[in-house]
Amino acid sequence: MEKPSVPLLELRNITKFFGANKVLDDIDLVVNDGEFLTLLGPSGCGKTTLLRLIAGFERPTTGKVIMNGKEISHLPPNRRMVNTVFQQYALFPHMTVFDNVAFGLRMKGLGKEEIETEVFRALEKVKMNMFYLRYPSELSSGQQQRVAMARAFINNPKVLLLDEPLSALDYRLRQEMQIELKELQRDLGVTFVYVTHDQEEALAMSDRVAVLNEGLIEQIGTPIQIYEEPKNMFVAKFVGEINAFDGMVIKVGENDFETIVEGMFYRLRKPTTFEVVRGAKIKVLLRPEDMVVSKVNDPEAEAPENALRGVISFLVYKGRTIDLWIQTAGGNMVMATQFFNEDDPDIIYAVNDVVNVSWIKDWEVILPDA
Amino acid sequence: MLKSADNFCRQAVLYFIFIWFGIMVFAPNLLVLLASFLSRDPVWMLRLPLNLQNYRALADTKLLTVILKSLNLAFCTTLFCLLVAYPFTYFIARFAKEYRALFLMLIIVPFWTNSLIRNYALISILGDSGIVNSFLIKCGLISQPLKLLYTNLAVFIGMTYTLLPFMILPLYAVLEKLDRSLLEAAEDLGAGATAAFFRVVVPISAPGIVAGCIMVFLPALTLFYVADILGGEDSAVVGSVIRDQFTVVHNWPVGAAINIALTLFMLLLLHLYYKSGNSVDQEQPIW
Repeated sequence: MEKPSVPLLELRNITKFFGANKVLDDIDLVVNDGEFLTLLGPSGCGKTTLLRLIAGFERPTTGKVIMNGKEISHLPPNRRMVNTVFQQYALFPHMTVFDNVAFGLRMKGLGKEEIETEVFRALEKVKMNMFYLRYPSELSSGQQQRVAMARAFINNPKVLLLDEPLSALDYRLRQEMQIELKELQRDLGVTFVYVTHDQEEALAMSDRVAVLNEGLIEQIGTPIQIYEEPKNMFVAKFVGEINAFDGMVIKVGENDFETIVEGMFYRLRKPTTFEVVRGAKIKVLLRPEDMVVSKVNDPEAEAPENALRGVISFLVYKGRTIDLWIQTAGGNMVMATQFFNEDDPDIIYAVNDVVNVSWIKDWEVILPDA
Repeated sequence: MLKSADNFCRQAVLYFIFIWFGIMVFAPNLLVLLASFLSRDPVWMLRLPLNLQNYRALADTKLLTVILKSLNLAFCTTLFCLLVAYPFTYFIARFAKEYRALFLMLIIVPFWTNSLIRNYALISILGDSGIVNSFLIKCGLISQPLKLLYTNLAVFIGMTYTLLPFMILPLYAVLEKLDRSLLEAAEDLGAGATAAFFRVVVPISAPGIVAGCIMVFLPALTLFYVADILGGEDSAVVGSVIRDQFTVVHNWPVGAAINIALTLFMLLLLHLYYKSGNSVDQEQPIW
């Protein structure tokens, strides 16, 4: 009989207080072997504290940290099989790149030759072997980041913890490092727990994303689930841009229901996550890229079915796309992202253009209005 | 317009610093150096011809004994100050900001009293009927007062007491800036508290240690009034000898020569420190 597999890392009912301040509230989280898990949330949501609990820099007020089925909550950082890449890298300023990377191996008491081989192998992985004699102060922040990575993963941790490692880099470098980090993770086969407040980063790199807010996990799932099927308004608004319309359920059918949104009548597919009842208030959520915009040549003509009438009040040209902010008749501001289509002459928009706004059918997300 | 005014200010400040250093540091040392090569004059104190005779006085056995004893005292004082000041400062630097300011204040407050007076106060603590002896007698630990005052131990205590803040302040300057995450990084990489301390904290604070040692060692060689007030007959320090050469024997050239020798000795120590490769700090030395 096959043994039931034990998850690599489990957090069970973790609560953490700093004084009277509750930072983490009954967190349950399972990290699987080899996955790239991101803790995403605004500053102060507790994501860094959660990471520090795994690393051993903080002890949970209540709850357990379990690795390979064994509780490690009481172990100090130097006795856990995890390593951290710190936000400001925390490279030892008095040591060369070589000595920094060798630090962990020296603590383990490895032989000189073995250390040398391992350090150069690690430095090669992050393309820093040419710089082994440099001091951290002689490196760019991108290079420091690579050294910090090498210094952590050389110890073969079961889990590599990364605390906003890209936040100190400029936009361009951040984009490059996202790809490099992901490749490195695949190459090493190490489990990554990655903390960030940047939703783009989270979506681009992760196998799973846990969205945190005020010490609670709001939703955990694949980037696609998080983006396409947000479970609540917080996740919907925090991850990407979103248009939220207020609606009222007027009639419930077998597979669909009828509702009034912005004064317009709509027949929408029933959500699977909760029961819609007549008279209930709902939110209809739509990503800007799911919106369909068409120019109105005769403003006197009625808007077609399932479309809102609006006026472009603001637009941003972004090269590949154009972002439109449309003021609807109902007074709401709707954001719509349009991709350029060579064959479509309508794509040239201007402020004060009158447009019809609708969306691709069934792409909406329905949430109860709390 | 603005830029040139800015430039002018910068130039002016630079010139001021150069001139200040020239007058306050460079010129006096040059004068002492010159004096060490001149001859003694009963009226004018100094006169030509230039010669190297004064440095020969350094070979005098009596003087050498004093110098060696003084070096020993200065070394002990420095070591003791370092051992006391380091943990003390380390913990202060870990305190919350508002407490740190208070502690620093408490260290600095004694400076507001003249150090001569503070050393005289030590007499009433260390004397035969002083606080220490009366306490020990009351406790019944001793029947006769211990001979504390007018001994080398008293000078050592006086030196340590006077110079401890000079060790604390430079140490504080480096330890306060020590990034906590470096300690966490060391722990994260498998270092225990001891390894983290000796491999990370101590090397990073080395500039402060060196600065503190220099600021204690040199005065400990030369603070003659501490030896005068608290010491016995053979408690002279190098500073006492130099003072005697200038004010008692009126032999300025020899006094200057001993002084120059002291300066060279200090430079040699510094040189050795930087040669030893312990100068792990990437920045320039802070003194």
